[in-house]
Amino acid sequence: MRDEAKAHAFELCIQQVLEGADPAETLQRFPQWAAEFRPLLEAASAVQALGGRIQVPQAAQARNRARFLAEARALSQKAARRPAWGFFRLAPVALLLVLVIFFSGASTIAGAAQSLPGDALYSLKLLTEKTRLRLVRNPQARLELEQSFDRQRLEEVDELINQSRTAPVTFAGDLEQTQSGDWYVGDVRVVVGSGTQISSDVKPGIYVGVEGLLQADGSVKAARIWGREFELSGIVQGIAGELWVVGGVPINIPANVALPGLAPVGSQVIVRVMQKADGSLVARSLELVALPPAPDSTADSQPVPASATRTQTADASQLEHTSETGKSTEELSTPERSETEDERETEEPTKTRHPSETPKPTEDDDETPEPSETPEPDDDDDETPEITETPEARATHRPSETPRPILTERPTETPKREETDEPTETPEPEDTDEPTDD
Amino acid sequence: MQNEDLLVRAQRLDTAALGEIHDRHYPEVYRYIRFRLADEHACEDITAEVFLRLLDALHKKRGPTQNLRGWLFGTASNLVNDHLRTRYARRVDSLDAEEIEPQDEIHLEHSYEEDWMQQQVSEALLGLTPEQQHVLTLRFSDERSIDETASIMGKSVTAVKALQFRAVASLRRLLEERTR
Repeated sequence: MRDEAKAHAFELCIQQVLEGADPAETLQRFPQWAAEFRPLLEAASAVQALGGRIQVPQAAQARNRARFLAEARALSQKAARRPAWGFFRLAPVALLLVLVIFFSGASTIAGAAQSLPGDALYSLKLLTEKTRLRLVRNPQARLELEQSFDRQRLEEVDELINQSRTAPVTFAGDLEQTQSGDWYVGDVRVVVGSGTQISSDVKPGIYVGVEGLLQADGSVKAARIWGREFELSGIVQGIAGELWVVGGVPINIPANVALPGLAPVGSQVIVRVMQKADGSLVARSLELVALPPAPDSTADSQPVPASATRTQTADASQLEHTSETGKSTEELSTPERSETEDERETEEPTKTRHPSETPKPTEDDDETPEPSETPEPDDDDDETPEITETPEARATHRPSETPRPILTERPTETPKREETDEPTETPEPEDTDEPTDD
Repeated sequence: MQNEDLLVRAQRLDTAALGEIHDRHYPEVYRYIRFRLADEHACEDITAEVFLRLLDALHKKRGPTQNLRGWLFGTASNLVNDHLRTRYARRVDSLDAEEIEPQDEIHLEHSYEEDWMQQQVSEALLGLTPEQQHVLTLRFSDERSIDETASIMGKSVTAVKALQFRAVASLRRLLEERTR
């Protein structure tokens, strides 16, 4: 009974705290507990402050609302056809699937892959594709993957047409115009109306993206048509006139897109390309991310201001590699690691690739970099010693004595780290007991 | 619209009713979960899961018929408990410092001392029993009254007052231990 009275008295004080008032007066009413309550009320104030800091992110709320309602619509459409699995429950499974598929080298997505535009799981499918793309850094492999996803979009539209379904669709293909004036994109008839937004670069024969509504008659009423571009990020490996090789991919880069000398061989660039009907690539824009790396740059994914201001000497020395790396065109079909190996072979022919065979540090004491210049250890522990102590650092064309950083770029590109990050944050609610009905 | 009407329509997966339920309850469910978890991403995921579970339950005709809020907070609480359990298990298994989520994500635009104190509070909260965390979160994340808290928890007001007292007393003790 006494405890009940005490808990009640405490509640009165808590109410004061919640109202932002001083509980001192209330405490005076209960002198027998005042000393005990005071420190507890301090703790309660601290808890209240914690609550006061929380802000509900509007974007997350809006996103979740859309997802929630989409799931509801899918449920009511499909009724008993499938269990009401949430996106959230499937995410870890799908991610695992993606990783397995990624490493097994298969080119099609399984699992949620059967879903079509308009299905509840379709957004999951797109998400898994994005995840796969994120894991692939090699420009050639990435481009091929993106193209394979484009083919899938077309297959999905075909399947929807087979099932006589209507759905919002986004896909890409070569634009063809028949003599009667009808438009076809990847053999899907596209209806263009006054409301269709068409980019100025769209014309028959080019590879375009289409966004619109698939109608019951199998045509797509287009809302938007644009010249489909692919983005390639990589190292310029060779330049022969307008033909460049970027990350193993040959690209036609017209002079109006890249002025001569803008991005010498060895530069890190981002190129946006369009695909011609014969499959060749033409650059629409070129962005220089970094000139041939300076010795202290460790990550190719970020622009390095220091290297962007490198002198002509560095550029000229890089140009020496043009003839050597020019052979990269022959190796276009070699995916992934080939780029790394190629670079190593051409630039450091004598160096071993095996981290365990690290050259002795004592050989080049004078060239050992300062601790502050050591590439970050978390990039890849195995390779770090090789990089910091490699004899290659003596190469005469290096303007400073720190070792070649180009090798340090590769570890950051390996997909390993990203994969492991993903699933750790996803809660696993399977064994939760939900409350029973009221 | 009353919750009961909404729920009747929601049982039929009426999107207007479901949209209204989401608008009405998302913020408080989010606040509840965020109060108990510092990890913003996990918080968003778990909030999303609460609503997906609601949908699932409605669809299977075993969703809440009256006390929607109680159902939502009950589910949120269970999911948070599961999340904390898995996280704890992971921590014990691996003893990997990187796996321990940082507890400092709520804190913006506050002084270092405030941030530090808040971090102590949110970590100390994790030392309470799930039920104690539940009662304090209901009371303090959205400043719910004791009657409402009791209704959500399906307990008597007297029981909730007693639970609240024990929860604050334990918290104070844990805070003293942390800051000693």
